[in-house]
Amino acid sequence: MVNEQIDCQKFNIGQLGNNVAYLDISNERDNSFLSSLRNKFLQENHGKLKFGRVVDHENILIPDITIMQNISFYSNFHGINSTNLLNYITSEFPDIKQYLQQKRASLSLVEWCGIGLIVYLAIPQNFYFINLTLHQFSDTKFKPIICNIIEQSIGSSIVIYSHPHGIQNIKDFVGNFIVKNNSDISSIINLNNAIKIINNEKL
Amino acid sequence: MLIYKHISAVIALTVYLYQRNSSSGLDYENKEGVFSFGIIWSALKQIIIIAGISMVFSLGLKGTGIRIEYFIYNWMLWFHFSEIARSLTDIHIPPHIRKNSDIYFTHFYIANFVKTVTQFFFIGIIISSSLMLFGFKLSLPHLLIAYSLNSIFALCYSIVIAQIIHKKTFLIEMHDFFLQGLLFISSIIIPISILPDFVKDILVWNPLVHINEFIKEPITGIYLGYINIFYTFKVTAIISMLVIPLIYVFELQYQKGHR
Repeated sequence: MVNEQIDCQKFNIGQLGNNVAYLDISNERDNSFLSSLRNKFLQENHGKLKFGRVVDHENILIPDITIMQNISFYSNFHGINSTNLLNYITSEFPDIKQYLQQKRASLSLVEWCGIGLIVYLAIPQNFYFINLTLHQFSDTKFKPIICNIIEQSIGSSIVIYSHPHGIQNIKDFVGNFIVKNNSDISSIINLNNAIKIINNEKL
Repeated sequence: MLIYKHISAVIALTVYLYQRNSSSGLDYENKEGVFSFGIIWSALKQIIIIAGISMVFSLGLKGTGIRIEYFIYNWMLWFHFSEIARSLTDIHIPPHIRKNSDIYFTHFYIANFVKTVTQFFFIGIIISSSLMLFGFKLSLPHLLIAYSLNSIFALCYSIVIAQIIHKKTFLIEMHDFFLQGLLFISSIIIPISILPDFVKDILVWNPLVHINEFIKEPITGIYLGYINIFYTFKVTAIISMLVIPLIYVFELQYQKGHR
């Protein structure tokens, strides 16, 4: 995260309070799940905490402007100094310089989402909601950068929604799991228990 | 704090709308960053069109008393009005913006308005500077009043019309026809003073006529008895009472449809 003061209390919402991945083993994917969760958190903590938007591959960045313009857009949007944000991103990911003047059309989906996620996580929030599959970063240069930024996000919580099949890759980004089967939600469990539940497909 | 958040959102979206409309391939890159000539070009091309039309008409109508120093502003205000009326009556929010839960319909709507107003203000400054450079005498207070009133009236008009025609293709097309017709009855091409009385009696109901005639007054020195800029003020004030409730209705529809 860019080094700016967050004026809010240390969060601890329910049992959450740490990075967690919801693994949805339901027959149908619930794309609105994170939005509902965010709205619930927002209603309960309006004005006290900062909640990032729910991101997926469609809205992680704006496709018809360049990466540089996107950084400027999100800086303006969140009232942060764009130079600070760019400096932070460049320090974490020096290769970004080669992408700054490019738009979505000239980048692969992995590059687009990887850069988008770096920009998203660089903006100070108490909660981040990630609806895109992180599996795709498993063997890419983005994985260590994203992991590093997540590690630095002290005082923030990352909530991920994913299919269960990528659990081995998701484990590199989060340590806590919640298995979701339609409206049934498990408690916060570790990797081994999550694998067991997924294999048995029971809560 | 909340107001600051909304203002930041509108600023970010306004800049985005400028960048989105700028032509690619016109960016100059240096060590400090990128300077986009595309944004300047989008304003310049409007100036070329406005200046071109004004000169062709004022030269073609030589002897009829039309003078470039108000005629060019009549056209500029018309383009400004029609740009707001077209863009704000049929707003398409791109999916990647719509999927951003932090962006409200109102942010995008106001950003569109701010973008058009600032763009034409910039055009106005360039036109005024150029005319003054060539020795033309202008009444800047008149122009500022006319520009502000034209912007607010266009905003109020657009939000009311948008409620009627939004997402109705046929009505949008009809509205385009209406705007084309409105050009001929707004005292731009045909001055109201040369029309028969019974036509004048009808056209004075059009608030744009009063704005366009108002900017002619200090140039020509002719003050027409039936022209009253306060009429446009009154109409705008009455319609403006509907603006907040109507934007709220749009916001509710947007939240319901996209969240």
